[in-house]
This record gives sequence, structure tokens and C-alpha cells, in this order.
Amino acid sequence: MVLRTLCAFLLALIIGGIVFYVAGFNPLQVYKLIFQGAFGSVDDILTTLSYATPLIFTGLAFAFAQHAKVMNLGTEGQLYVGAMVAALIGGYLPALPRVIFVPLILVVSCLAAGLYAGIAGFLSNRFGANMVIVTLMLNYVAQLFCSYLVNNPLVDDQGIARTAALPEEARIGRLVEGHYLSSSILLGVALVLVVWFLLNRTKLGYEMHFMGTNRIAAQTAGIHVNRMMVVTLLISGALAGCCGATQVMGVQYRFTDGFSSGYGFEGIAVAALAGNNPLIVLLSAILWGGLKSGASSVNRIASIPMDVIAIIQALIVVFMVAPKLMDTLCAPLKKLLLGRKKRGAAAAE
Amino acid sequence: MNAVEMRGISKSFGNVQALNHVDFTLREGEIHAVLGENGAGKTTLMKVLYGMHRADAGEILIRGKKVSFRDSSDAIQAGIGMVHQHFMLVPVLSVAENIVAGHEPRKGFLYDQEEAVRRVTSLAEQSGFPIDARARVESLSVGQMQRVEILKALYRGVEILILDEPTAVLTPIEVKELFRALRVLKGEGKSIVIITHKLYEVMEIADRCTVLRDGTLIGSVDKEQTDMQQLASMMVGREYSFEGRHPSEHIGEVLCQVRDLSCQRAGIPVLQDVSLTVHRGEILGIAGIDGNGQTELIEALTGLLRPDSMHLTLNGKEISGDAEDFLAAGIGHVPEDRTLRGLSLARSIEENVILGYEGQKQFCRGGMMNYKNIRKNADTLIRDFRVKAPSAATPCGSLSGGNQQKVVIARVFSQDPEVVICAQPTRGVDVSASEYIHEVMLAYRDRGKGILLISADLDEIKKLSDTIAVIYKGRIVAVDRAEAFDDNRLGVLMTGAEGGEKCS
Repeated sequence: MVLRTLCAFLLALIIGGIVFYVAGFNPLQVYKLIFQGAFGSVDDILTTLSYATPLIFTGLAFAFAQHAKVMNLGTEGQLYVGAMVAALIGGYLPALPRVIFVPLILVVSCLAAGLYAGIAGFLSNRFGANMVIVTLMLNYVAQLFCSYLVNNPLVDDQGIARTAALPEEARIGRLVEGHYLSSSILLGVALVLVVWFLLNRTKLGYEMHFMGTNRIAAQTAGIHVNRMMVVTLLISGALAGCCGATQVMGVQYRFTDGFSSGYGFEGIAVAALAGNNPLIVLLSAILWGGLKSGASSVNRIASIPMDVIAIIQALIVVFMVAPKLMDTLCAPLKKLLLGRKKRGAAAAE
Repeated sequence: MNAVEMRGISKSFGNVQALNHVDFTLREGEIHAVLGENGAGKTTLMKVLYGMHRADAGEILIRGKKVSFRDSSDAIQAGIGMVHQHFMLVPVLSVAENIVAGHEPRKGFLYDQEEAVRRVTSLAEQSGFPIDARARVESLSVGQMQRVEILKALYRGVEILILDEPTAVLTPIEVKELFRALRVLKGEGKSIVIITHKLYEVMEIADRCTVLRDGTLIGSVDKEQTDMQQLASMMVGREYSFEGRHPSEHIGEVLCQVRDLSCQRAGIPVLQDVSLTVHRGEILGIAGIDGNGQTELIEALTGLLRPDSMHLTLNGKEISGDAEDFLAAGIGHVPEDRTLRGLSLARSIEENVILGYEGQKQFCRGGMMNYKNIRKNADTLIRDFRVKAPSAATPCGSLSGGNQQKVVIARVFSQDPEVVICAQPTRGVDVSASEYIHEVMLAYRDRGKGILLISADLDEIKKLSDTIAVIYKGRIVAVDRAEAFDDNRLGVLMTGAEGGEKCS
């Protein structure tokens, strides 16, 4: 698995390198710049982490549901719901003391996002709707409705499509002095552990795994798979909602139209890269964040368009989701590694 | 000259050595049985011959000429045909269309249906497989579908015909018809291989028999010079005795009673007024040809299907609800198909062996799983039920069929339910594992519990049951003590001839 990921990553870099070369850049130079841009200094690392934060939530959301073979392609819409609810409570209701207000907003907005995801489960159970299509389409409903809200009833005095700013009491603070990285990354790390625990140590996780690997056997054993699907979506949606809420409460301090640069869909890539393992989601989100922040700094220095970086990101995913291709490519590598070990053992004797 | 000669064939899948230097000779114009337990390598050997697998080592000679098949179309070219256990037919097309597909007669650019029907009809008559060439395949019985498969091979002009467990899906009468037809084909000079693990079939139809065990050749013998005892010992690798029946010594009070079970699917009644009673210390066997309502019966009795009407009592208490409630009430369920309903192959033995019981206190408290106890439980069951597995953490998918089934059996019987709905407990399971599973069932019965046994294997029903009920088209057409049935009476009842008996 690790080998496969590495292989996919390397292959993507090689092919991406060819693209850079054709586009007239020196690939090695570009990669160096990307790496420096992402991890070159403390400041760069903090920037990378701030790019990674939303992806931890959406990556977890998608990965979690995948364990029960529930295809939640609606994380994008769910995070909009989470963000909007957070912005509405924080921006328009009378503020409470911070210790109560922040958790309250988080819980309510995540709950709203979870319920929104639950709609897909309900439609699928009740009317046999296709999960992929329903979750995908609900993205538009949420996004466009939020867009309507900020463009019409909530539009501010200057005519900008955004909600009122959150008061201090509703904001999640910064992690370190002098950098805009939000403390919500700590919540992300905590949720990584929570999700791992849910999947591997609880009855819920046990039943989800049976539902995900053999739905009929799960049913035969008395597991209520329909109910489980809704629960799975509730949790997955709540995780996605966390992404939206923390972006509003920790970064933007308000809901701005189109604030998500596709965090939901990037979360799918992050989950795929992590093989849906919640612990690895953390790493792959940071890697992904690194590519993004590295790309933006390269963009600034060398005027290489961000799109070219997106090609590399896409390639990694394409290679990751072709496990057979990776296995074929990995086989000689594995043999080499094992062979060396064997030879080492022989030499030791 | 020999039709086929295979020398020193070896084949491995990953780390598993499926065949180890196996020799096999098929003489011209003989019926040759390839005998062995499940997983012995019978089908693999024949798939190598048919070009579906490529051998790692060894050579194949067809009528003395060395061949190397890239795929099965090469084998078909060389005159070899194979009928698989799972038929490969297009249900919505007619018999004739299925048979000529790939080599259709044409009229100009168009497919000539009349010519196809003519050819197929004459071929069918010639080969002793009378069949209606215009019938749609989906309307045929399993036995007839098998004929279509055989005719498909014959139409392509095969001289060597391989049949993979051809009788597994047939009724006793269909088996007789098949054997008659095979003798006709043999008379025409075709060479036939049948893969089987049933000894009496070997004695009935084969001229010679090759026995495989664990991928190695045990030997090839002429039928005339052997007997079932010897073959069985060769097959399982030790002395094997044909034990007879084990009737229950003590049948007690009523344990589980089903009344007025009726059920429709898509408007068609699949179960009609079924009433059954299982007593303590009794195995009630349901005999019937697959597809006569057994599946619905199992599903209704395990809470998976809500029938139109049913009164089910266990120890006098009415039971209703869904699968969870039925399990909790003490009705165990060994599903018909372990890979479909019984197990998740991707998950470990320890997880599978508590599936359905994962909420019990020793495994789960306050929503948290106790994996220490789960592991302990699995280790005990692996030992007690003789599951061959490297460890409790092994995924079920890497176990053999017999061991997978033992995991299911261990799960159900270790929970000590009052009654077990036991469906096809030994389907696709090798002889020694079946023997063991039967022992478990009998011991369980002798402890005063009850079993409802549903099996397509008539021998299993006859061997284990104390009482037999025959199901035909969703009705119970006869219930009687097991001794009161002989093959003839069962056969007649199962096929619905004479409209069944009066149900007592």
C-alpha cells in the first residue's frame, strides 16, 4: 500500500515532469521550487498546514463513508451547509461567551450538514434513488441556495456577496502568533483519531465494515443496513460540515460566496491517496496542501500556471485508483527489495 | 491412440500449488471420471486442458500431437469442449440461437433462423438430447440448460467433452437421462471427461477414473478393478467408512412450529400454506429440487422476508420481526450461500465468527468492541471446529470453501440457538469437512435441539433427517418418517408427478 502510493507519486512526478519540460520549464527546478514553497521554512509549513486543514475534514468525510461502501460525493454541498449555518448563527444571533458559543456553532452547523447528507440516505432507502447521483446533485442545491442567500437577502451594504462578519466570540483563534493558520487544524487531528476509533473499535465500525464488504451478509445477520447507511451519511456529512464551519469561523470569519475551492472534491482525492485510512488521511491532506501551497508560491516566483500543478495532482489520483497498474509496476521493485533482503540474509549467514 | 495425454502438469496460483506434476490420460471413446475432494485440483487440471489456465510446467498431447493452447478458442479448434458448472447461456435467446452463436448459418448477410433450428434439432436427435430448439433458454429447466451447453459444444464439432460436476444441479431422473445421453455420445466415439466427487457416479458411468488429492495424482484405475471403498480411501487419503443413517434416539416435544406460511413474489405464489413442525432432538429435512420455494422458506423462517402470512412459534412463543429479532429469539441460520449471505470474505475470521452476535455482552459494551474477547472466542472456535487457518486474523477469503463453511457453522452452533435453519450446510465442501459438519449437526440434535435441514443433496437429506418433508412448487407435498421414503418415492414427489400425496 505504501509502496503503491509512493509509486503513484513518483510516476505522477515523472509524467508531470515531461509536461513541464514540454511547457518549457526545467522540471527539477520546478519541483525544487514547489518543495521549497511548501516546506522550505516554518512559515511555508504553516501555510501548507492551512491549505491542508479543510482537506483533513473532507478527506475524513469521504473516507469514513467509503468503509461502508457509501459513496458520499456530496461533501462539497455539505460543507456549504455547515459554513452557512455557522455564518448565520455566528453573524446574526446575539453572541454568547466564547467557551459556549464556538462549540455550540460547531455542533449545530455540523449537525445541519449531517442532516443534509442524511437526505440522500433517506431518498435512497425510501425511493431507491442512486446514491452517487443524489449526493452529487445535492451539491448544486446547497451551493446555489447559499449563493442565493448571500446575493439576495443577506447581501451586505457594499453589495458584496457575503454574510456579516463573525464577532470575536464566534471565532476560532490562530494557532501561532503571526500566521493565519487556524487552530481548527487541532480539531482536524482530533477527528482523525476519533474516526479511526469509530471505524476500528466500535460496533458501528464493525457493522459498517460488514455492510461495506458484503451488504447481503450484513442484512442476513440482522444489521439494519438502511439505518446504517443514514447514520454513516450523518457522520460523514457532519465531518464535511466541520470543514465549512471551521473555514468560516477560523479563516474567513464570514461566509463568502464561492469560498470553497472544491474542498469537497479534493477531499475525495485525499481519501483515495490515503486508501481511506483515516490516519493516513492526515498525511495525504498535508501532502495535498503542500502541493497547493508550493504551487502558489511557484506561481508567484516563476509564473508557472497553477493548472500545471493540478495536472500532477490529477495524475497521482489516476495512478492511485489503478491498483492493478501500480501492482504491475511495483512488482519488479518489490522483487528488487526482497531480493536484496534475501541476499543480505544469505551474506549474514 | 490416446485422445489426450497430459504429462507432468504443474500449476500454482500465488503460493498455492494447485497441481503438482499430474499425469492424465484420456483414451479414445471412453468416459473418464476425474475424482477428488473440493480443492483437489480437478477443475484446474481440466481448465488447463481447455486452455483457460496455462500450466507452469508439463506438456499436453492431443491424439499424439503436442499442443500449446493460448486460450480456450484454441482448445475448441482442437476439438475440446467444456461444460462449466455455471452455465454460460443467454437467457432471452432461443436454444438454437444459443447453440449456433459464433457459427451462425447465414442467408446472404442475414442470420438464418430456420436453418439454425433445423441443424440444432437434427443434432439434438442424433445425440440423444431431444430438445425444443425454439424454446427460450430462460424457460428451460436446469437439466435442459445443461443439454443446451452440451449441444453447444457438439455443434462446434468437439471430439473431447469435459463436464464439470454435471450432476450437481440435476434431479435423480435428470441424472439418469444425462447418463443415457453420455453413453450415446460414447457410442459415437466421443471421449468424455466428467469431474465429480460423487463415487456412485463413477461406478455407474465411468470406464476409468483418475483420483486427485491436494493437487497430486493418486492414481488412475479401471472401474472394473476397483470399488467405492477403494476410491473413497484414495480420495480422502485414509480409510473411509460409509456410515449409514443416524436416526435420533429421542424425539421430544414440539420445539418450533410453522403454520400457514404463504408468500408471493411478483404476484406468483412461491410458498402456499406451508406448515412444518420441528421437535426437540429431530432433524427435519426438506427435500426438493432447487427453486421450488426453498429459498423463500429459509428467508421467511429467518426473518429476512416478510411473507404474506405466517405463524411461527418457538417453544410456544410467537416470533415476528426482522432478522435481528429471529436471531435473538434463538433461531440460528446457516445461509444457503456462504459467500453471498454467510460471510464477508474481506473481513477476518474473528470478525466473521461473531457476525450477527456482535452486540453480545462479551463482545461489545456501550458500543465499544472488545477485541480481546473476540480474539479469544475465535481462537477457541477455530480449535473446536477444526478450522484450518493460520490465525484468527486471517481474512475468510483466503480459506478454502470447507473452512469457510466451518466458520459459518462455528458461528451458528457455538451460540447454542434452540433451532437452526441449516441450508446447504455442505454445498461445495469437501468430504472430510462435510463429514465433520454432519457430526456437529447430529451431536447438536442429540442434545435435544432441532434442525431444519434444506439441501439439494438428496444423500445428505437421507443420511441426516429423522423426518423428511418434500417441497414441490411451494407446497409441502408429503411429510413422513425418513425410513418411509425410498429414492423412487422421493423422485416422484420432487418432480410433482402424480400431483403429490395426501399430506398427513
